[in-house]
Amino acid sequence: MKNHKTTRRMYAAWNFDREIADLNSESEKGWQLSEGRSFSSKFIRDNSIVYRYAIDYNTDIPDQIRYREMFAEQGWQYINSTFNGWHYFRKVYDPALPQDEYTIYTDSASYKEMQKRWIRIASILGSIMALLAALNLFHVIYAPSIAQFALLGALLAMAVTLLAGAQIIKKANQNGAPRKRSGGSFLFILLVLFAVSVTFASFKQYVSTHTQYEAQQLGLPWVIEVDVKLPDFYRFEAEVSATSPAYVSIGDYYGKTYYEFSGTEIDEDVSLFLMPGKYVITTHFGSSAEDAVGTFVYTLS
Amino acid sequence: MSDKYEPLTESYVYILLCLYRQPSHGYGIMQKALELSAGNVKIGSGTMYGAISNMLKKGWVSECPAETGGFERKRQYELTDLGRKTLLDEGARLRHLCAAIEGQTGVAE
Repeated sequence: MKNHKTTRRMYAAWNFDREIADLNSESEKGWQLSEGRSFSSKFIRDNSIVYRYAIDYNTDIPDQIRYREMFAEQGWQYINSTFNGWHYFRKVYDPALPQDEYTIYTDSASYKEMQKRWIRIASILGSIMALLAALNLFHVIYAPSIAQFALLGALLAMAVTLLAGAQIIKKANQNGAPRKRSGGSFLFILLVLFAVSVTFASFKQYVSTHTQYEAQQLGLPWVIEVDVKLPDFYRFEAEVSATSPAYVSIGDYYGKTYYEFSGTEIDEDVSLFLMPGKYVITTHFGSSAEDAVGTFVYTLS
Repeated sequence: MSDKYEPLTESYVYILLCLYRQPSHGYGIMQKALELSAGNVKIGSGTMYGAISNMLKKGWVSECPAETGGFERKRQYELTDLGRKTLLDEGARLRHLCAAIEGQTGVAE
C-alpha cells in the first residue's frame, strides 16, 4: 500500500480557506500533510490521528522563533513555509474542543490585516507585471514574434489575476461574504501559457540566414535560398549600395512575393510572418545595368 | 509616526490588560484574556503574533528576559510606560463613551 502521495492541486490566494477544508478532509481519510507548496501538496499516510490545519500568510517575520513559539504554545505544530510567505500549521483534532481552538485569527481586525498583507504584495507584483507587459508591447510592435505575443498574453493575464485577486479579497472584506470562487485551474492555465511562451522564446532565436556579398554585376539574377523552420515573425534587413538601381525581393517558390524594394541605396528593415518552408531572396538589375557594382547585406532573423 | 487616534480592538485591550500587573508569555496572555473576558475572548496564534509584533514596533510592550530556572524558556513580554498610558487612555475614552451613551439614553448598566 502506498504511504506517500502528492496532489497537484492549486489554490488561488483568495481561496485559501478551501485549501484548509481540503487538508482537513484529507486528514480524516488518513492522509497527513507533510509539505504544503504553492502548486502541490505532499501527504504521508497515518490513520492513527486526525489534524486540523491552519495556513497563515506573513512575509514580515523578523524573528522566526517568536513566530513559531506563538503557534507552538497553542498546540500548533509547524509544518513548513513556502517561498512566498505561506506558512502551514497543524493541530491534533479533538472533537471535544470548541471550534475556535482551530482558528488562528480570532478577530476580524487581525484577519483583515493578514489579507491586507497579501493585497499589498499582489498589488505590487501585479503592477510590475503590468509594467513588464507595457515594455513587452514595444517589443511586440517593433520586433513581433509568436513568443513575444505569448509572453505579452501571459504577463497581462498575470497582472490581471493579481490585481483582480487583490480586488476580490478587498470586496470580500467589505461584504464579509464567504469566498466561493475557485481560481486554481485558471492559475494553472496561466502558468502553462507562461511556460510555453518561455519555451517558444528559446526556440525563436533561430536566425535563418545572414549573407554578405560584394560583387560585380551579372546578367542573371542573383538568388539566395533561405530555409525557415518555424512559423513566426521574422525580421528581414537589407542593405544595398549599388552603382545602378537594384531590385530586391523576398518570396517563396510558388511565386508569391512578400516584400520588394529597389534603388541604388537601400536600407530596409521589415517584419514578415513566414510559415516553415523555403524562400528566396532575389537581386537583379535592370536590363541597362551591364556593369553595375555593389555591396549587398541581407539578414533574416 | 502617525498621531491619528484609532480605537483599540478588543484583543489589543485584553493583551495590554493581561500584561498590566506582570510580564507574561503568549500562552499566559491567551489564558488570562480568556479568564478576564469570562471565556469570550480567545486570542488565536495568528492574532496574537500580529498584535505582539505591532505592539513591539509601537513600543507598547518590550521583550523581557525569560525567567531563568524554569524548564521552559519562553519569551516574555512586559508593558512599557507608553503601553500603560495607551491602556489607561483607552479606558478613559471608553468611560467617556459610556457616559455619553448613558447621558443620551438614560440607560445605565
